[in-house]
Amino acid sequence: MPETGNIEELAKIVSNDIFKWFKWNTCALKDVNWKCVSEHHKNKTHPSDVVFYYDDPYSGDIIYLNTDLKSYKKGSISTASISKALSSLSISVECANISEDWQNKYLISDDGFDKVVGLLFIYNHDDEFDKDLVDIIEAIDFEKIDIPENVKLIVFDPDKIRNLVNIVNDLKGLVADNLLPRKEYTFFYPDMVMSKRHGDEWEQPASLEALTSPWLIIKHRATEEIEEGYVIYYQMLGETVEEFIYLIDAMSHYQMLLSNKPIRVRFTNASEEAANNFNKAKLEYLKMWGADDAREVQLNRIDPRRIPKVVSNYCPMEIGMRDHAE
Amino acid sequence: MQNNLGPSIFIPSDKNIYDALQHKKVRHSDALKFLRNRGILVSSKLDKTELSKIISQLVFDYHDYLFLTRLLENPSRKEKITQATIKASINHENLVKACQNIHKPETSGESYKVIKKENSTVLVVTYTDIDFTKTELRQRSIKKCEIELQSNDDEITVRMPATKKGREIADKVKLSLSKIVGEELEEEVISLENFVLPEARSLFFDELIKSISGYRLENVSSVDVYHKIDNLEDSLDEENEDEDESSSYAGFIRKAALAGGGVLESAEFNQLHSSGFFICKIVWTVVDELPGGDIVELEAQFGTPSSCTDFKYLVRGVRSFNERTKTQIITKRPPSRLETNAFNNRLEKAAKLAFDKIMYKYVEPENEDN
Repeated sequence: MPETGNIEELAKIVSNDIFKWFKWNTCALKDVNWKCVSEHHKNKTHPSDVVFYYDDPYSGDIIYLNTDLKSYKKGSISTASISKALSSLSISVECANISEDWQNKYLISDDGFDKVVGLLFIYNHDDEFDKDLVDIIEAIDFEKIDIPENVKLIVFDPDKIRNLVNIVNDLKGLVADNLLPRKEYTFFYPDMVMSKRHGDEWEQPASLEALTSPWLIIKHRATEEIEEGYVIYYQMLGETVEEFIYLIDAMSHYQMLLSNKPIRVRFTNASEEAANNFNKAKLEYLKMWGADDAREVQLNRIDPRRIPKVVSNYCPMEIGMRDHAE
Repeated sequence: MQNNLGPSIFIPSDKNIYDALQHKKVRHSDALKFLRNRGILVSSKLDKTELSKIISQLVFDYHDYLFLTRLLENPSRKEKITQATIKASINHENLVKACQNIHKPETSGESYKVIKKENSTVLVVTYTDIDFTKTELRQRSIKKCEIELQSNDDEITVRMPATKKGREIADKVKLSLSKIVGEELEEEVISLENFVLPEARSLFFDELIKSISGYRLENVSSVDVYHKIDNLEDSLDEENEDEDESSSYAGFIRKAALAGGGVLESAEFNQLHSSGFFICKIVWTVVDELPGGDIVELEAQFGTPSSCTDFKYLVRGVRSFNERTKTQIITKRPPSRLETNAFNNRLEKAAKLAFDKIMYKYVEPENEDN
């Protein structure tokens, strides 16, 4: 059961501090219980801490995220408590997809309504990231969480959230330095073979698929300081040259190299050698395709560097959030 | 590989990924786990096509690409081996030198490595094999081609994979050797091209399977027979049917495969044999002459059956002896490197013995008549 007051506060902070930057919208109602319509659930109501929504870049449908916000102190979390949270979220989402009460409360319009996805947001509110949590999540027996066929759940664990917060902080820094426009940026979705981007190229949100990917591509308009170009947040370690050859090949495949726009590759979580490996990959890539001055000019427009990590300054739960574990 | 082909790996499209995931080697649980590692949880009741659709929408990075291609790899697939004998007396040091002297093509992604062993020298070439008949993610695979050179008295035994690449590298080795010796080298391979009698060709296999030293024939489990003796290019591997050729003989069987225990003793086989068919491929098992030994399954064939050339062979598997049950276990395991080497040696010796026997039986008397 949701506790009073604080969840609403937390939901506001999370949506403003993080998801607004990923161009997600937040439904007005927060921390609400709504009627269960499935007899086999044995619940009278289900909770929604907060509901986010965005237009899916490939289908054009509106994706609603029924979100469960969890905050833990270091060491106060267990495999069992996360399993329980997932099971509960799973049945909530199954119900939300067909509950008139939920739909009345949250649907913007019936138009484009596709489905409700469950988001479990687990944050631990100590200064340091709790490494044990990864093991705890890995120990979950996912077979035992009986997810219905039409339900999709997304888990943002502390590691993921730390990365997202780092990205947002970096975006804020770039905007402050006028190296990125405050509003005129979009998340970049190349056309695929089996699905094409829906709608305008600009104003696309970061989809769940993009946020859970190894890299996240932003396309931005010019500012006084920088011309129109791309920012790529690379979330992997960057310990090999091969992974960057692959990344450069991906940029080429996405037609990002064609217009000679500046591309800033920013490492959120990389090892010391990442930038060095990237530069080696550039040289290798040039060698593989044979000497070509034009290609060299293109590749030299790519600037790889690590982003400053400031995550320990971000503790939304310092305002005294619930501890669900015990 | 040419330099204008770009990197040895390419970023796969969503369709490539979707197709690759359909392969049976990607298990349902692999697909679920992949999604779970991304933090995406879905019902385990979704079938693999549904899961493939979800996954193919995601961004694949290099690590994901490796994960998927590794699932699709076929590590147990074994290439058949062939061998040639070079008549020359070259010492071990010069064999090593000859291998080191081979220059790899500048722009290729190949790597060459020479290993000096106690009795032999091995040249290992690592290369990218491309098979465009496979789905995108399965086209490129890293392969190793090992050329083993063994010096015995006045001849060099060259053992190589029975592939185009094996032949190509072996030719380079031969060229490098002849530069050291200072003369062109003669190469001997096992070929029954000069024996046109079906009996003679079949006898070769009959002798081969009985001549594995230290082992006795246990059973013949499969035999391929062929009925056309000419010098036309007609490879079993490529299975290219020559339409014009076969249409002139309506109701004519050119090749047939027989399987089952004790094939050679069966009435059906003997009937075929007497009507002009000869053996071109055989799979058999041998058992250790000493008690408590293993059963080993072997295979030998002529890649081009019409001319009985392109001899190649393979150690298919081993059924180990179980001390507790006092018998060999039913399921066979892949042979170890040591076993493979030992049996390749025995197979080569047996092939030479068998070849000598048919030479003696079918060539010598003719000479006497003349």
